[in-house]
Amino acid sequence: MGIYFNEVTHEYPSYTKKTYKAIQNISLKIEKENEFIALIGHTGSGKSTLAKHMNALIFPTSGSLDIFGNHITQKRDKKIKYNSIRKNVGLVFQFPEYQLFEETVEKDIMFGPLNFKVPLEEAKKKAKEALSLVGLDESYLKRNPFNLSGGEKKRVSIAGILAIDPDVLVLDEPTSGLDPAGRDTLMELFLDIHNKTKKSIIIITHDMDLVYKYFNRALVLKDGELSFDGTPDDLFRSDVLEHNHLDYPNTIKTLKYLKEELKLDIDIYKKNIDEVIKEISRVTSNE
Amino acid sequence: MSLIEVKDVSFSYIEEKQSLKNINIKINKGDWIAILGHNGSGKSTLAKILVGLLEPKSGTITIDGIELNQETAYDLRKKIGIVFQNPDNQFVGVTVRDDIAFGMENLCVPRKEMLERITYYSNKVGMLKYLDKQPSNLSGGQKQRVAIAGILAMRSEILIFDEATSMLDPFTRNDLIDYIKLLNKEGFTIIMITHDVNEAVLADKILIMNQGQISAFDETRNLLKNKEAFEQCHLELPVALNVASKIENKAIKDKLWEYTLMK
Amino acid sequence: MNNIIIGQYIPGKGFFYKLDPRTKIVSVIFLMISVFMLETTYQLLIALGVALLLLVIGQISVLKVAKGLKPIFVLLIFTFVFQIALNQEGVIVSQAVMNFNLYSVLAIVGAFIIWRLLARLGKFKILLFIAFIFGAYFILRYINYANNFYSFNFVIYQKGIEMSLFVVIRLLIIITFTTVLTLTTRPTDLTQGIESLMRPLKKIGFNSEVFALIISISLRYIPTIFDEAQKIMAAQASRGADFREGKLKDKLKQIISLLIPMFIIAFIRSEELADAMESRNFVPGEKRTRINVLNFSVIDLYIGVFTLLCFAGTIVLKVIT
Repeated sequence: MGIYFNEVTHEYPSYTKKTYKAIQNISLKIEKENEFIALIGHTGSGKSTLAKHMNALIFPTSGSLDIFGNHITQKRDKKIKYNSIRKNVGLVFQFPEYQLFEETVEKDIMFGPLNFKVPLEEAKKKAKEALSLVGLDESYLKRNPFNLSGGEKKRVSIAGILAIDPDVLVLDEPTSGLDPAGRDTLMELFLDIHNKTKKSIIIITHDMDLVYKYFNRALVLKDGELSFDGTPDDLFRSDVLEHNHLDYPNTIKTLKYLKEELKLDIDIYKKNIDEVIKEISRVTSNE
Repeated sequence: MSLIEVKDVSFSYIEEKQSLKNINIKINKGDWIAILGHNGSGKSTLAKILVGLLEPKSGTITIDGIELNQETAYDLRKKIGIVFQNPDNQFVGVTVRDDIAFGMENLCVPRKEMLERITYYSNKVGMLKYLDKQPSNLSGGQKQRVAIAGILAMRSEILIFDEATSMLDPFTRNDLIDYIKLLNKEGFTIIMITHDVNEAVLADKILIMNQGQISAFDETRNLLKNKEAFEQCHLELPVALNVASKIENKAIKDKLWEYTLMK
Repeated sequence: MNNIIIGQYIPGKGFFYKLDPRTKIVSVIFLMISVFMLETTYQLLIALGVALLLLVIGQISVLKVAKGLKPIFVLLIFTFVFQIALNQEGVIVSQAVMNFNLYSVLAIVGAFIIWRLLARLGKFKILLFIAFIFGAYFILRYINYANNFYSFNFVIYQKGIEMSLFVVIRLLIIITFTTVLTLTTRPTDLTQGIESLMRPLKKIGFNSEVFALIISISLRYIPTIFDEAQKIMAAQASRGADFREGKLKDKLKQIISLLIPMFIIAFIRSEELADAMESRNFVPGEKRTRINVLNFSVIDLYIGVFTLLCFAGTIVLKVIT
């Protein structure tokens, strides 16, 4: 079980050209468990279009998808309950402003579960659980979501999806606009949820430092085509990024500079600062 | 004499909580200042006060020797322009041409001169080809460039970027930053509000804000040595400097500093 | 998605694109008044000829105008039918007894179903509609059994035909004029034209400049807001509120879940926009120069004179007859 793309292409009608292919010929398998995937690409590379296919918000114009046993093609199939696919795959949009609308945080988080016919009392319980999962305490339940800070709103919007208890979680740029501290806590949070529940999580991001540090699989989109699918380590060792005008993680960039300037015999592929320091001391102690 | 002088400025949105407390800054002509701080530290409030969108509760702001107040705000705003965070919410015109013209229209620049300036400045920011395009057909980075052209066309000398790159993807962001570097070389005074340390190190001076107060303000090179200031405000040093602070080897340390301060 | 065409403006080159929007607006108003003053079908036919001639001069294809007619086609048909049915003056042209009975009603229902099924194919919609109307007419007329629920005498008078033609042609002309206006004038130019024409109202306290700015900013944000609405709908659908599924009683909540975020984002936007405008020295009501200016040129003069002649002509015609 999971999300399987089979040669999916999605075209949008376009004013200037006849149609515009947002994604082309994507074949891809995302399993239900143990995946922590970074989806990378420029604005307009088709990341969001790809994400919207994952919970059947849009349908492929050609090719097909298999989402938790539901066969999705271009045509709407009356036998498939598309709404229930959203119970399998939770999609969190970039801006919390797109979904917050109730007068209390509790009601807003309960909106999802209630739509899926969860009884009121249980929905309340789920709201509480989801809120603690995103690191906010119960005092937030009765607060007005519109009076929260940007980071808190983001957490509440994520809790709104977590409360539905989806099998797979997809997040569109959850860390954008947050300061470094907020960014790291949020990433730790996703990793924590992933480790606790084993649920697969797919995150759209631009931040290569995060990709290197946290993820076990990276997908790179370029002009709607899948140009890389593999581990972040392989990604940064390949030349895919250069062809895509994408950046390298700061650890690699820094070590690469040292290597070139000081002609050091050093392994530049280090994920975090501690590893970098260890590698530098290894090299310097040899001298 | 400094171009901008902020003296004892305080501000609060609501009575109980002061958003800015006793801010004192001097900025010289041609400086590039980065204002660094996490969300809610008061840095955007400061930017709004500098362009006269908010009035300080106490203290004074002097720009080019003239004190900023309700009477002088109109004239001083000609000297100082601001690019906001959300590219979409500052694009007033129906087309690129109309948007660049908007500020000049307000200054009653004659039409003939407006057209000349539009051609000149749109070319300068690389948007000459797009003059007739509508905002919905532009990328975020392109919209920010149009915003810059609109300010330059008003002949502003000071440009404030209020997290102007935070909604852009890294590629467009680098592009915009390269352009800001160019403007600074040409003599424009740049005030860049950001929470990205890697962006801040490009400036000549960094000002760290925390809970409405200035917790440090110094030349970039000196300030980066002040690790406590960063830690106090929950900010991270750039990766290279973080490494440098934890190793002994002098040659490598120097290279890491060189790498960080490379422009 | 990002390219919704606002209004009916289609970019192009031609005579009418070069005209000052003020000329076009005023001319259309005066020509419409003229058309309403015409009294006979023959006069109207001449006016229709003039309107078509204008299309030729302006190099506007009749097809584009016909597309503009589409939404009001049903209105045209109804006007036509009502005029025929209700006008009872002059010589009787045809007369037929219409019978409503079990069989004829069933036949009409059958014809209706066939019509709707065929209409699903998406082709010849208008022809199918006409075929249905005629079909219904023949069914009512010829399926006749003893036990009718109701029958009536459907009489068409000469005057009825004349009047219906008259009204329909008049509508056609007016629509042609307005379509030419909206087809060849950008929405921004149209607002600016209206603003310029309403400037004299400043004396009674109506600030047309601010009004025009409001309209042009609204026009600029329509695509953005549309795009946003789609994103909000997708975000709420991800929480199990799919607008295409769900029962009627869930619909209300779904609409609220769409509207509140839209309003909140609009408020945030208007605050940010106000800051951006103020920082660029916008002061409401103050004097500003304009990048877009309206130019009154020689061709505007031609059109002005032409309109005046048409208007004067119809007045003379009205006085004589």
